[in-house]
Amino acid sequence: MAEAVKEKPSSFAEVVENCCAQLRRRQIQGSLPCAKRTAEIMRALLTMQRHPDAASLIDDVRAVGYKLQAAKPVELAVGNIVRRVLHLIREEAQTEKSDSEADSNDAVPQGKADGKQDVMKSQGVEHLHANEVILTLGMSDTTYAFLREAARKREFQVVVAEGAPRYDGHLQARKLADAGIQVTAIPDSAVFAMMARANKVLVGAHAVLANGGAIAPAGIHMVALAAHKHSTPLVVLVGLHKLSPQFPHDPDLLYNDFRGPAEVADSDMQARGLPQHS
Amino acid sequence: MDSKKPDLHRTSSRRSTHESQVEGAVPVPKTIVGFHVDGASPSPATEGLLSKEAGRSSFTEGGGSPTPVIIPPTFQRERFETREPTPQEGSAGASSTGVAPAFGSVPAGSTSQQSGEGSIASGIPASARPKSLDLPAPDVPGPNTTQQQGNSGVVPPFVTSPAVVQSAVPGFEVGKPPQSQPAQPSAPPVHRSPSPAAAAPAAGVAPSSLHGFSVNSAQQQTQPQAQQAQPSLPQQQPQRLQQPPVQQPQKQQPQQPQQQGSSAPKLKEMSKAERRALQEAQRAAKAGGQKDQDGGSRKEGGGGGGGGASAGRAHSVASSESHSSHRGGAAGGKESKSAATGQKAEDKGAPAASLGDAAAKAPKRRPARKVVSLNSTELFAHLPPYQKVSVSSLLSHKDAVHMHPAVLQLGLRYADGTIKGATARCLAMLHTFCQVIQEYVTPPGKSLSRDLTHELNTIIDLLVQCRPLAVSMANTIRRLKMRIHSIDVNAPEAEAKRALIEDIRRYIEVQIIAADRLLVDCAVQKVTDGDVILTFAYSHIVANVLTKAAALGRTFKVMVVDCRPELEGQRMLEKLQASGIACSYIHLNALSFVVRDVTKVFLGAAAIMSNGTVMGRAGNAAVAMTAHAHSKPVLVCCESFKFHERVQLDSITHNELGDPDALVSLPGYPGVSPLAGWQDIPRLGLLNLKYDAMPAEYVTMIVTEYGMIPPTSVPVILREQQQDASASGGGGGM
Repeated sequence: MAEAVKEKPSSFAEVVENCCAQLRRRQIQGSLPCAKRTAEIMRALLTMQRHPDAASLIDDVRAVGYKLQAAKPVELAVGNIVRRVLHLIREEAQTEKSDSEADSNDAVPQGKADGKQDVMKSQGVEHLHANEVILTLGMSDTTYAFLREAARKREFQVVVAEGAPRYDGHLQARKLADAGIQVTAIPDSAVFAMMARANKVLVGAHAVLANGGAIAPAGIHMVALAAHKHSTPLVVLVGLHKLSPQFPHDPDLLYNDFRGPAEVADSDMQARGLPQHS
Repeated sequence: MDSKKPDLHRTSSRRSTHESQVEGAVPVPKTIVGFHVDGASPSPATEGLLSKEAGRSSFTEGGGSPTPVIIPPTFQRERFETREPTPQEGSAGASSTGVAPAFGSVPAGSTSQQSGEGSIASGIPASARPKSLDLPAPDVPGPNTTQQQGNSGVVPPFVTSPAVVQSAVPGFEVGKPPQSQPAQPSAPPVHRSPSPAAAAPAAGVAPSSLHGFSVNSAQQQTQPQAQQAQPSLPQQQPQRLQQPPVQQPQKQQPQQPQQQGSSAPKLKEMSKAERRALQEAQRAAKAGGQKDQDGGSRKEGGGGGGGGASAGRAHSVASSESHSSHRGGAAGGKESKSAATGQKAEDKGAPAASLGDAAAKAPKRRPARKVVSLNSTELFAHLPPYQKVSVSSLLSHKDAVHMHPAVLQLGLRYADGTIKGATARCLAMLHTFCQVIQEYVTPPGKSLSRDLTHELNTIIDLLVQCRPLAVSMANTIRRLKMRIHSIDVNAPEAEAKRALIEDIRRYIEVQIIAADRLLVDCAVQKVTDGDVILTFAYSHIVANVLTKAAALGRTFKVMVVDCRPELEGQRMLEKLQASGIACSYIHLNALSFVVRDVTKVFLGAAAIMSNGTVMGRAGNAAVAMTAHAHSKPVLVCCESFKFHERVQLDSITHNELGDPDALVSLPGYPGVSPLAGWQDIPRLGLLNLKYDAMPAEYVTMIVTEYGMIPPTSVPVILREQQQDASASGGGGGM
């Protein structure tokens, strides 16, 4: 094992370090890119290093996984992928007792992305009826693909809340309108008012936790409360790589990402808040 | 005449050629018959034209006035210069070819007036497609129409009228005399008798001759249709005869308002079901090979789905008929009698079809149509659409010239948001009223109270144009009018005015200033040391409460929640910071994260309904809901003059639409919003709601000048107020 690690130790370690740096600097944005990157790292781990048995492989995978997850604790997809890989390794070890598990790993990243798309496509039409009003918040590629696919066979309209201060709801509204779906863009303050007329709420999420909770961009809690008040079904569309086995006691604190205040309060406002000197 | 209508001559010549082409053409006096649909914009100086043309043509050239010409359905297949008459028009239904040319000429003449419409039929379809007179009529009349209506998302109520009227007229004509052909001679009289339009006695004579002929044939074909037609159709007649229709493919849009005005009474005479039946029958009559293009359907925009199915269908009928007529003309087919008979058969079949069948046929006829009539902005079609107000637009108001300049200034301040907030607007309005009353002089021969009320109504109309009234303003105006009504007729004017102004000042003093003081004193008791108080957007009363508490030496923190697009929280933040209060500022979306640390929530209100629903700035309800979900007490501070006795269930029935473009502008956002240029994107709509209805269950307590009351006690306060008002009665203050 020592020899195997020495084969290209620096290169693999560099690869991992590179990935961690990118995660820290938020150069990899989004759960799916992070998941894919993690899967690539895992595959590189398998190909670049030889492991005599499953136990050593599991140790290596775990070590790398901790490093990656620590680089961005908020990105739960990283840990999810690592756990899946570990699960596959253990499965393989149980069934085959062979020392080459590269094949199983290859299937992981591709399968995820494709499978998710197909599932979405097939289910879109099942859950939407004609003349429905769908409410959504912000931008989610999953939701966009879902609605676009469903729009081929169903006629419905979408109300998109803009999702300040990211304002990616604007992009979602524009994309949906360009795809031929009737869209109304509203500010976040009007979500409660429009919820009375929405039939369903479809949102994407950043991660889904073991207790069923979802971590999603800011504003989703308000949408969920309003949907609960109006008894509107809330559907969260996620890929499998977002399902996390964590039971956080305080996700608002532990898994929250804080950004700079400039997006909300500009410098003038901040300056006004400074102690006034003569 | 010739000079006025050179095209007419051309038409005549064309007509003659056409006549010769038509088999078995009966030499028909070259009169042109058309049916003026009431509601079309009035043609200028029609009488002169009528008298001149009494002998030869009975149509009026309304210098651009949109008088749709009703063409019998049989003429759809007739070959005309350009377009076939739409089946709607079909009431004239002269199957005889002889009549056809006559009808054909009309459109030609009208065509000349309008660009390229050509046939009579085109005139009517023009109503459906006012702007573009291109023939391949967009098959989706609904969306087209709505698109033309504008992007306000509010479909003008009169959208249905032109098309409906058109359809009605043919039906009218047909149905009018369900008499048999022998009644032909009587037909003209029948046609004309109901016509109260004395203006066209001469015109009536001319058409009558032709009418008799055409009506006869029309009756043959359209009789069954007529029987289905609304019984009240005959009333349409007068309009028709009044102005011998000139078919002018008019621009529907400009005329619609006029049409609506005049046709409204006629339309109302028919029940909606009858009108619908007539439309369906006519549309079904036109059945066959209609391929409505989908071109216009995409452009729904903010127009809203045709303001409902009826409008859409009405216009669809018009446009589809025009389209079909165009097809017929374009095919250049020789509309032989067989075609006419075929049409006849169709016509006969159509009336037999039930409304449902006709409706069922309609979609089949347009397989390619994919009209999306869903649009959330339509939910607010009952609210006035947002209108940008500018100085020039205000000055162009009909009463602006006579208005006190203070009123114009007030209106402009409302419009651009300088004066915002229920209390501020009410105060400013009352001050302006005082000024107006001060300088008001009763015209001789009029009573002060009545004329002043009229004056106030004019002022209020102007203010409403700038910005819809707030509930507080409406309440105040109501009480002011009651007060003015109680002015003694015999009192000297100066004295009455002085007393009135005094009462207004007292109202302000009692209901606003003193009430605010009491309210603040009451609410300040609820601010304790160590509190973290959450507030939303800007409320002057909450700001007063917090600054007063700070002045009293309490130590607390404030969390200011703000939301787009108004960003009023920044104003609140400034005011609180000026008082030295420690503040945090967050966006509404971050509320669920910070609310756990909040101890109390203070909110303002624009109005409170009698079931405890609180109307506030959009986003108020979301704040209260989140606070309630985390078991935080919500206190709403609201003076009692903002209480209203109506009951509101949701935020949609009563609201105000703001500027949609405010959503697009993102200050401080790098780049341009993807929503820029939203007006050009057919399926994209923007909605900017100003108000929000917070259910009573989220409100812990309402703080008024009477003290702290639960939301269920609002009707009690209202009742007491009403009793006070009636007790003070005609005597005294507002």
